[in-house]
Amino acid sequence: MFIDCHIHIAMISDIGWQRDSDGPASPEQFIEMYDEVGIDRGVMLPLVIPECNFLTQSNEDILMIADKYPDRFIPFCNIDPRLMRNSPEADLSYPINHYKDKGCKGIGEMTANLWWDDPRVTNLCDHAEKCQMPLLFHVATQEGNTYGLIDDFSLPRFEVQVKTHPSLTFLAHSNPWWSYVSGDVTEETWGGYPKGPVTEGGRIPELLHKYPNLNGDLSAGSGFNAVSRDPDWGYAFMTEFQDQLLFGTDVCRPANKDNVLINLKNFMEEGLAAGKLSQEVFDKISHQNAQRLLKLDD
Amino acid sequence: MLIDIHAHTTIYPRDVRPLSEKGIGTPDELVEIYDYAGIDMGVIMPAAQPEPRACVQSNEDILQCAALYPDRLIPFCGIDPRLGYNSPDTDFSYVINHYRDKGCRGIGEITANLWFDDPRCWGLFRHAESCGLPLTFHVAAREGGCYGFIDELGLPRLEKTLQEFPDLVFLAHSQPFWSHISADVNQDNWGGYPDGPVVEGGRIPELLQRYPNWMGDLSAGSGYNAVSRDPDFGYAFLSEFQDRLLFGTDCYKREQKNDLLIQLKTFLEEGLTAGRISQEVFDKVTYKNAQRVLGL
Repeated sequence: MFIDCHIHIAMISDIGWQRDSDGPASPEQFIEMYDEVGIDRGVMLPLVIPECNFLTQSNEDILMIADKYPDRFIPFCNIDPRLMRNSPEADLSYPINHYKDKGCKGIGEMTANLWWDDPRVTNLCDHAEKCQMPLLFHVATQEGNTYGLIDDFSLPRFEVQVKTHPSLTFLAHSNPWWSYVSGDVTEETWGGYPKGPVTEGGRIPELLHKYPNLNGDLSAGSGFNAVSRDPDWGYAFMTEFQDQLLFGTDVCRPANKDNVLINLKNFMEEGLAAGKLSQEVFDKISHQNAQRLLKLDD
Repeated sequence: MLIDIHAHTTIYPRDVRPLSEKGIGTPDELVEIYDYAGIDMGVIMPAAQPEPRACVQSNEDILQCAALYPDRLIPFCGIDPRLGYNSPDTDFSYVINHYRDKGCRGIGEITANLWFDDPRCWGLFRHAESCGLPLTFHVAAREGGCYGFIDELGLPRLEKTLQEFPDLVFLAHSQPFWSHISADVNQDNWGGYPDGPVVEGGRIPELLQRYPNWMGDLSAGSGYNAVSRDPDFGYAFLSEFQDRLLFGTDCYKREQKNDLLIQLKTFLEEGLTAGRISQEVFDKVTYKNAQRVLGL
């Protein structure tokens, strides 16, 4: 069984990701892709935050898809830290609980281009923790000309949030996050997809050890690159942190069927076949961790 | 005939969205109160920026509303200046033209709590100007704790913006804007609804005389207050700037049918009956200016 913890999907819009490009895949296109490769369910992350895309989606647009295909798609809501008058005092528990009651299993993908320690972001973490809703986030290396919560090199501002919100389940994503799998990441490479052997002593193993509420979303080129750039290291990493990693794709459009839809899945299946991953590890990462962290049986 | 330049609605039933007592009504509800008040058409604007409410609305939601009542509801699209990659170089024309092709007649209500002259806002204005769509905005008196483009008392950043984009039609709205109708507005009251006699020499008459590329959206308590707080001034103001002012309500729910929906309309009708504004002024403000600026 596979649960994909990270997809973008649209049912009532047809605006492209960029000029002369297609837009998010439809539910029907997803189901066709999923059936072809054997993925059972996908977590829908609404494009509510302005930074990152041209489509401004509402949580309601996503809930409509969940209503139509409850067995295939799991809704997250997205809660912009600037909601309700752009204030660190905003009672974000109100919209979070509203959407939790409507079936949302988490918050994200958080792509607001605000600093990790911005009081409005801290406020969001406070309310997400209080409401017991996992937060899936994208990291940015700079303010402006990008998207995601901004940090300095080595992620010091993020660490303060994960440390001060021990009951909040963080789902970490993006290239500026996964580049820290290796100890030799630099100011020049942390926003990209560093290749080659992983050097011991990376921040990600350190943070995963230190904070049990931190989990890795292995979707996209970034997650796949982190575990596959040095395959022996990657399989060992997956085994060591088998309770803190989640399978994901970040499929955004039908054309992703030839890359992110299958890259990580193939890598995991090859690892299982070669005995580099146990069945237990495989099952946890492919679906059991998602079931547990997102409380899918509740 | 009456065209409302400023309204809100959503395709989703009230209990679906986290808006509690401020729940927004459906198109059926909006058209129902329009029928009650004798309003023929209305501009519906999505809350597509995060700042004003507890949820974000999509442009597609508004387009679906408009599709239900194509003869009554005129859609605008909401374009956040941070859209794309949070950059002043964002290709907003692509998004604006996408929604223009789907029937949107303007952009707004823009409520992002960014400085009026933030390069990302100017990026949006530059593209709105080149695409030829008007833009409705809300003004904020401060950064944080509110919504709208931020300015200082006296609206210097708005003025700089009006100078920079002479071919963009701005539709000005909100209490921090309309409070500048009077010259005695001050730091303490420019974010509210100052009442009493209007002092000559306010920034709004000055900006209307100086810059032809903007119009006043008279909706909400703010627009109504600006013209009704001192009726003699208000009717004279409507007559003087008869080509630059637009009737509006800012209605979004049935419960407003006895206040926001009718108060400006009643004020205009009373002025017409009493001969304080001419039929020509009344017609321009209530619908002809809207027809012109929206290209109806």
